[in-house]
Amino acid sequence: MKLFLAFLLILAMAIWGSDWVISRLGKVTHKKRLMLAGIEFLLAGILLGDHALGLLDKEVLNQLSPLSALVLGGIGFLCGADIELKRLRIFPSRFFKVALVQSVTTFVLVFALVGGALALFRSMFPAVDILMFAFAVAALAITSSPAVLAFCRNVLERSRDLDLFIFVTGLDGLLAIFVFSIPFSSRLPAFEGVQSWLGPLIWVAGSVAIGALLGLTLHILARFRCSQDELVLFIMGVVVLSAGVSSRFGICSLLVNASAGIVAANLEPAGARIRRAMVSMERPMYIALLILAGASIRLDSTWPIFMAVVYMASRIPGKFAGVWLGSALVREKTRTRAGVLLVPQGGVALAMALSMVRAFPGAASDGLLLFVILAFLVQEILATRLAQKIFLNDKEKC
Amino acid sequence: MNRLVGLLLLAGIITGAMYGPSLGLELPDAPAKLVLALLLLLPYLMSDVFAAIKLPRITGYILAGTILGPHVFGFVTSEQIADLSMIEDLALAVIALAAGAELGFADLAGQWKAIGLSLAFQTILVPLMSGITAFLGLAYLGLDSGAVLAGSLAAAGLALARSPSSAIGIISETRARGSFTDQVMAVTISSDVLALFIFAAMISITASMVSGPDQGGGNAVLVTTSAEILLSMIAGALVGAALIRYLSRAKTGLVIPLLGVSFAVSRFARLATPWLETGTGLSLHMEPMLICLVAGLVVRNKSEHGVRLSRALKDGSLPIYALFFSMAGAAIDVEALASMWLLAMVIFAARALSLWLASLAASLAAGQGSKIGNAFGLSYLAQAGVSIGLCRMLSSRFPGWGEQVATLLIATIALNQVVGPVALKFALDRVKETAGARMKSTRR
Repeated sequence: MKLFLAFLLILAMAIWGSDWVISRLGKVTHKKRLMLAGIEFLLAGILLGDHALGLLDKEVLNQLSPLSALVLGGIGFLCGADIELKRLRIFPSRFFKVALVQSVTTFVLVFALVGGALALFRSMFPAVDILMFAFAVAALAITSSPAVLAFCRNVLERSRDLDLFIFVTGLDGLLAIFVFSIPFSSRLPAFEGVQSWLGPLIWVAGSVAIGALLGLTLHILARFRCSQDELVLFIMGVVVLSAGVSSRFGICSLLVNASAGIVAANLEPAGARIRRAMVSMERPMYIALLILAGASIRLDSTWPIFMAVVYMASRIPGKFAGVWLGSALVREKTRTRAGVLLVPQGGVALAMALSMVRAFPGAASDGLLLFVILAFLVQEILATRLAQKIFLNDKEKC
Repeated sequence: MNRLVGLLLLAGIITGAMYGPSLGLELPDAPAKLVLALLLLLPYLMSDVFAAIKLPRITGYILAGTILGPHVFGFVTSEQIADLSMIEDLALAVIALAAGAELGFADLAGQWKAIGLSLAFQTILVPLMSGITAFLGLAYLGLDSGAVLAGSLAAAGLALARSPSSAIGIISETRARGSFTDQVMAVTISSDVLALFIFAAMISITASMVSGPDQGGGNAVLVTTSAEILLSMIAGALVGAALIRYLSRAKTGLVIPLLGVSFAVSRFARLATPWLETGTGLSLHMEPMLICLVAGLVVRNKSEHGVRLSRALKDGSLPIYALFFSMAGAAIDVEALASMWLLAMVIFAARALSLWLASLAASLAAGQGSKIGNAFGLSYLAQAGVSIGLCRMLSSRFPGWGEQVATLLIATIALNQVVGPVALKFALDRVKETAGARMKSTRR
């Protein structure tokens, strides 16, 4: 009966939630914006999970694993399909440099602080796990969501900062997935006669190649005389196949799917249609992801709360410092305070945390998911407040 | 050519992933994901061959599923199919909801007499001819006289069962519409429900014959079946009412909530069984297909949202059909068919002949003419889910001879499952109600 009740509740919330959101889209206020970010679905997932109603427990989640594969793989595919190489060329190259510098700065700061903090708990995890987790968390910290950007759009409209931050938020998810796949690859067998540090990179290249092959396959299938229904079937099939291949070999499903997405969405004539099809699938996938992430939380220990604080204390300054450093290096006149626009984290971060839970089951990944979710919630609220203060109350135009 | 290259690439990738060397880090759910991808993609691409020679894709999915399934090449094992049962249940529920939403009573105005006559002729002729043929066949197999009589009664009841899922699949694929299509849907759905009653009645008689009239084994089945159908119909009406309420508020984004409703119904039906058994002391279970069918019918006929519901279910339904029918194909028991193919062919032919005779007689009596009657005769062959469920019930209720009879009937169903969709498409083409046929006649 649990599964049925769980599904009924998810269903009711999905129906009520989407109704509620749609009916309010036309009259968005700052307070209501918080709801648009999807926090309600995350909270719904937490409510359904082990620590509240217990309706979406581990067993039920395992039964729903084909759905999780489709959702997590779909998020990776979306991330790749969002990158339109033709459009990227329109942006000046200094934008790319800013994106890269802010990502590296955030990564380094989070890796150092989170790694150091995890070392405090070394009795709980072996040293190699600490390094791997710190690496994964730092990669995850790179991602940012354009949620606050959309909220400040009216203020930023006449500023080139808008273009810059659209570019950065579009690209850093992909950069994050790429870096995130390295800990996955570090577990794979080493190559004989190859430097040990090079091994994981070869596996990452292999994952990209598999993804590219799957993307190419999708392109071949969708190229000619392919109806919309067929396109949806092919995309779903390729996403699940990418997830299956990744699970079989222990490589990162997000990277394989992102690579497939980039290749499929950038090869014409099918690319534009694939991007359009993904837009229609985006919202349901994010809702399902948020509910799954919420339900997967395990509240067995308190260390994740401490880690969430360390994570935010390193990530938020990392984003501000990254924007300042990047802008200074390319002599772009961007206000440092605009770093607040990169503070919120979207579904990609949650998808990464959930991937860790699936690939490395145990207390460490459960804790990671919890602190990422805590940080997700706090950063969402904080960024909204800060952006409101910086861009609206001060009447400051960028 | 593109599709062929894509198919070969996918086949290579899937085979490599399934049978390639393991790196020792495989996740436990990897096979389920690979099988899901395989069943989503390969049968659809293989069905291109069928589409090219104007045969229905559904038959292509079924045959591709059979080839990939445990009884031929074994790419998909029986356990893996069982692992995906949740998805199969969901697909069946969506298909049933779509079938119900397709059937507007207003569209059937003027056809009630023909539908009634068709049901009446079929209810008499089909069980009679199929039962007699099965009687002779089972006697030829050398079963004892009691088993022959009981088995032929079961075969007679089963002959009336249809496959609304195949019918709606073909109608959706060919985008058929018109009075012939409506009548086919109405008769298919009604006779499938009727078959449950008749099969239950036959099982009741059989049980009385086997255990004696005083043992109480007979009537219980009929009572249970009636209660199941009634409960399922009430649940369906409630789901339908809830859907009407939702559809009147929601303007867009219907697909996900509708999938959710279908999933909830299929889970509810499965999980309610132990609760019903404990509560009533009877072996009751609810039929998700019937619940969704009734829900679709209620929305279609009790609100103005039926067409929207039908359209929303058609959007993006292709993956569901492809997956459902390829899984159905993978479950076809080729060994059973191989062991009893001759007898199965005879029973299949007898059922087909009786359906044709009943349809022709009904059409002539209703003044629809012989051409339409001949087309109707080809439209009701397909059998699937419910029929197989009834066979399983037979074999579990009557171990020994029941298993033998069930094997024979499953072989017959396999034939109907493959030939039925082809015959229905042919009939729809002949009466010019498919999109292709309509386009051709418009050009002329």
